[in-house]
Amino acid sequence: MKTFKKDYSSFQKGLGRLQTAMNGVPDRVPVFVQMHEFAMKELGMNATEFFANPDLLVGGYLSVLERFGIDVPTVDYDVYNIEAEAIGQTVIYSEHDMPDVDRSDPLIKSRDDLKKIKKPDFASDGRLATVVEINNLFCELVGETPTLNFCAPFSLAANIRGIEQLIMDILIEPDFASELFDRITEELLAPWILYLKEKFPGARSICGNDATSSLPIVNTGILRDWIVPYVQRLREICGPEIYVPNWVGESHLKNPEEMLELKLQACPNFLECQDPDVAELGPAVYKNYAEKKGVPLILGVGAAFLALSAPQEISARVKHYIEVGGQNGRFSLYLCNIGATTPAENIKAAVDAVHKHGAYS
Amino acid sequence: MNKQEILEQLAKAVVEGDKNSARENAQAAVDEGLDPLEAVDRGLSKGMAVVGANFESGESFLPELLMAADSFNAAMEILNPLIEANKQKISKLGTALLATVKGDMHNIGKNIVATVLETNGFEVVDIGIDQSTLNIIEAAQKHKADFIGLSSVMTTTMPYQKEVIETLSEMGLREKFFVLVGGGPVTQKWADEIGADGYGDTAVDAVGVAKKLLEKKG
Ligand code: B12
Repeated sequence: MKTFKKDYSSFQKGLGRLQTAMNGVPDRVPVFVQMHEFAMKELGMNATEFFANPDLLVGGYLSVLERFGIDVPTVDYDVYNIEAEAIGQTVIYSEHDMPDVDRSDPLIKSRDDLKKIKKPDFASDGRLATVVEINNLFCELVGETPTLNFCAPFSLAANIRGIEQLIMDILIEPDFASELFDRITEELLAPWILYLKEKFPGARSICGNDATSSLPIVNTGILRDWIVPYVQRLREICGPEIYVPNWVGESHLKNPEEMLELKLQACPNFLECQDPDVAELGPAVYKNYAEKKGVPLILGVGAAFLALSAPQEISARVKHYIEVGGQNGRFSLYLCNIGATTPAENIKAAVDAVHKHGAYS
Repeated sequence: MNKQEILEQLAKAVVEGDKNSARENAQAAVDEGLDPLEAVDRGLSKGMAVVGANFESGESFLPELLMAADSFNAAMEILNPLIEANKQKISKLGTALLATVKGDMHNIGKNIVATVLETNGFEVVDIGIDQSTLNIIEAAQKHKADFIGLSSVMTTTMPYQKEVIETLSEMGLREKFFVLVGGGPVTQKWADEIGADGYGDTAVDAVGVAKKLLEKKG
């Protein structure tokens, strides 16, 4: 078994840079990343070992972030599965891929199943205790509390009900859908988040992951009536540090601002958007909107783009996003979901471009 | 209502995702003695084509598509017994076997492709997500598919599309199936590179490409 360094307090500098960037002008644009699949490959581990082992998920992961010059340390695991698994949804573990819920066997098949959505036993259900352990280890190694993660209500509902079924519930059986969302929000997520807050009183941000709430999977009506309200409910119960930033798809709309406005209702403190939307609409649309609303901006360079492009193309895109997005500060750059097959030189090209073009003199 | 009006109402019911109206108008078609196949072809399918086009142009989203398919199917429940009683057969354009490749759990795009192909006259066998190359090939043989449609939504799983094509060749089966590829990061360039027969940027494209290939085959 590999052992990793016991001290990653050097990341505090990057965390400070991010904090300054959120409020004003730092020394340089900070760069952060999601790369658990890439890290798994870099560390030569298979998924069964990697996703069950806090040492690898935290120590191993931080060692890869450090090696690639990433500023902001994060914890990263299969965040969409945890709460679903804790209430009994089957999750498939395999050697090569990260775990995922068994979509052929959703937990909620009928109204009767709704009672399965209840406050879990934090000590013994699923991997809830592992999540606490992961975050504890991070605090120990970095000397700061990480951003805590949970699966947001809509993505969780889709994971335990099936996305098509969930959409039909909303459209045809709204009473059932309301009960499903009420239970997920109030019986499951709120107690879990409050428990996490108690365990990690230093947590300043608690992030709900919600890729499924994206266009064209949902439309703006569903975002407005079914997705935003439950995020807001969680904020009311658990506090303003709860936010949900990662819906994509505004480039499908004639008026993208319609969705940006909704995004700010679920994530009021910053605007986060990513490729392919940003590539499609151009970074200026986002910078202008963020400035108009007085919030900082995070732009994400796309996972597929990072995996499939030449290093020069990557440098050029990073430079462009920084030049437009980084004006007057209040900006950070995100490298989306780096997969196992992404060439290491592409990540290097992206980070080098941040170092080269991101400095504020 | 005359025949033309019923056909228009059927199309409209699908476009608006109005299940009740789809049922009522299917019943009207039966009561007025319309040819049920015509009701499908010139009514329901016309509506589905509009919904597909709207989805492609970004005017409508998955919920609208699901509602349309649901209305389509509700009308079919009324028309089908008659079609069967008349020993008519909706002539299927061809059979498509669909799968999301190994390691990839995304199924929304693939399911849309299934719905759109189905409502455009194809027989669809959907074997689901995370399917190994051999599973896919075995199922294609078993169901005597004309097409194998491979969905891959992640760059990390795209190589499995290539693997399916290579394995088909190794097994001497390449000529038996048209292979269509699609999914978020997949491009025409990639499709050409791996020797796929067709690529669809959207589900509606998939229908056009599949029809063209069938025409070529003659
Ligand atoms: C929803 C979603 C999820 C949901 C999936 C739910 C489900 N039931 O499918 C959840 C949350 C579970 C999920 C999980 C993961 N996801 Co995800 N996900 C998405 C998201 C937001 C949307 C995908 C989608 O459904 N699009 C809508 C459909 C309609 O579009 P589509 O699939 O492209 O299909 C259309 C066409 O491509 C075409 N088509 C599709 N298939 C076929 C097939 C044929 C034959 C043809 C002709 C045409 C065709 O027709 C469809 C309709 O027009 C994308 C982001 C994005 N912008 O796309 C990320 C994304 C695909 N996910 C990504 C990743 C990395 C993951 C995860 C690894 C986890 C993570 N860390 O987030 C896991 C993967 C698990 C696994 N092993 O597969 C990355 C992939 C990066 C890459 N390397 O390419 C993306 C791009 C996000 C990102 N920016 O980083 N995800």
